[in-house]
Amino acid sequence: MLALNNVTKNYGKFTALENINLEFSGGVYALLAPNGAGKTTLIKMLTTLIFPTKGEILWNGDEIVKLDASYRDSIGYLPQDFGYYKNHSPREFLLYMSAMKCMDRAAAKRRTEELIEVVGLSDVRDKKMRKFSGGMIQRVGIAQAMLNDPKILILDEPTAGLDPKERVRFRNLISSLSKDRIVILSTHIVSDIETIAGSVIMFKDHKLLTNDAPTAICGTLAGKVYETDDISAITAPYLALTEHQDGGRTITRFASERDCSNVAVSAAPNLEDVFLYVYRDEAV
Amino acid sequence: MVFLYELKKLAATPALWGFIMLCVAFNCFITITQESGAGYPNFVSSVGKTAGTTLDRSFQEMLAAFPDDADGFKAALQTETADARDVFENYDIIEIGERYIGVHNADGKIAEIFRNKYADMQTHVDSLAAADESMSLYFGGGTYYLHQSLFGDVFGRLLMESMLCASLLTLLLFGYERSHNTELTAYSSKTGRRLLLTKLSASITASIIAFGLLAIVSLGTYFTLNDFSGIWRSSVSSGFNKMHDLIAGMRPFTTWRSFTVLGYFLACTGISIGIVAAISLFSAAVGVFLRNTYVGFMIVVLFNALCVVAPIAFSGRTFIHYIFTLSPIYLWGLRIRWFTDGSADTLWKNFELLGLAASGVLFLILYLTANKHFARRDLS
Repeated sequence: MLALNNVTKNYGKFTALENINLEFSGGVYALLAPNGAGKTTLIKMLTTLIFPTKGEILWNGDEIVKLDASYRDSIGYLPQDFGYYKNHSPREFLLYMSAMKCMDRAAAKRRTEELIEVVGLSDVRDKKMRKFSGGMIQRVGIAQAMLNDPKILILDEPTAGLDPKERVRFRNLISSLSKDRIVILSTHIVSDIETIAGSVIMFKDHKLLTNDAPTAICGTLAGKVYETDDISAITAPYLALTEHQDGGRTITRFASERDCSNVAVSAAPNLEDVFLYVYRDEAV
Repeated sequence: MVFLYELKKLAATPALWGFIMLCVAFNCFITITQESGAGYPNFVSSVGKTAGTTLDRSFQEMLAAFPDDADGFKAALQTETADARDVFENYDIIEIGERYIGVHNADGKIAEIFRNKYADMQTHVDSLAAADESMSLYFGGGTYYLHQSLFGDVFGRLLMESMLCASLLTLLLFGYERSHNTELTAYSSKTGRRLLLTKLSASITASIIAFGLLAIVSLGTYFTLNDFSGIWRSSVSSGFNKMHDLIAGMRPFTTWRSFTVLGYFLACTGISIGIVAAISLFSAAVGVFLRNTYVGFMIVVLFNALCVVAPIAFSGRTFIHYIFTLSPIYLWGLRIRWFTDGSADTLWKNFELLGLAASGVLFLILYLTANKHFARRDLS
């Protein structure tokens, strides 16, 4: 189990994360928050790239900084801005990363071939990555993260910059890789996690806001979300969420603390509604 | 395995090969265009092969048996060697030391160290005199020119280029992950920040390989044009060899121990490799702190400039003046005096070994400090 106990991270006088307590025991955990909320800070602490100012991070009861290489042997990490060697082919790069992960040469070759198949890069395994699309690079990224068959897979904004088709493909890939391991997925794209996350972790004001199942989080807005084609008729205070077209009408989805069922249709809340409601005062 | 990958990163850097090729081309060009009058040294070398390098009666007889040549080389060598005398006989190097003390206006501990050094050297000079060490051929009348040309010019270029190359490739390797945006994946892997130790060993190895490549081509060209094969066994302290400075003028080339030309050449090569490794170590320390190749290179250049300027800024009455003369760049400047008393520029015996050891220890401490700092540094 991976646990954060009272973790705080300060950069000088700026507090990026304050007093975070979390436990990860298996399945897909989605870190959902706007940009700048501290998702990447948390992930970098989990990967020992940065260190908590206060508190501790434990892996099976031992502090990860003290575990050092043995802890890092348990993790696979895809950074938000995944860097690679442009003059390497996927196969060369994966073999290099295998060496960095101290893998046996024969096992590294076998695992590299397996993962190239899994991420669908068989046709370009020996092509230089210089001309690869963003999606192909991300697939190389996920493959390198999976090389050591990690117990903890950490993916920071893995779908950023991908087209919708690539995002769907990537979601499916993550879902298939989530068996028997902890997957920590950071995103600010709600649709990425709605179907695959077992738990959603949200931060607000650099503190932990919630850590719960998507349905439970959506339940916090139950009875507060409505849809109407005449938003001007709403006299109660409300927060406009989204708009969509339906038969030539503009349907406005909104949230209100008061009962608006007499002038609008009640709707089942989704994660996007919660996201927009929770972060209504922040730039998203 | 990671070590080999680190070396491969350097081997796959075209700019590095470009730099090495430029240096090789430059060295070959200079050596070929400066080659002049090699006929005489090559003749002396051929004599050395047959007659040996000890200037005794047997040598004169064997030289006399050589056929006369149109260039008059034989006659010239006969004249030079017939007049040869033991330059260490009655050579008062203590008096030379006093002149150096005087020019620095040194007193107290500094003057004492100077005096002790030259007293020790006088003992060695006396033993050289007893052994007739200076009665050795080397290149006869061409010795000073060829000694300066090899150990001053060729080694000077070779070592300067190797130091630049070592610094560049080390900083390149330490800045590699940052410039390729691969720091996060590299340092979160099992190897983690221990990668820096691998980078250090790869950098030093690559620096020595680069020195080797430059040396093979540059020295190979030089020795192709200047035949040393007959004089390798000659003493480097031959009476024909001189050292020169403004205070003492021309004086015998006196080393702390007896060296053949080959032994001296190998010792100088060893010191050169040590200096290249020290520069690589220093660059690695800078690279760990900065992780930026080009800014790091500027810092290394500035540090070396400081080491050149500092002895001028501080009086020869202060220890700090002499401490800076132990820096690698200053050792480069004094390369023609390695293993000698070092003239007025250096205070201690065996300054090249002392400088190398001091630089090595200092840069190692600097590197370990940088490494320790990096181990707890936030990477973002």
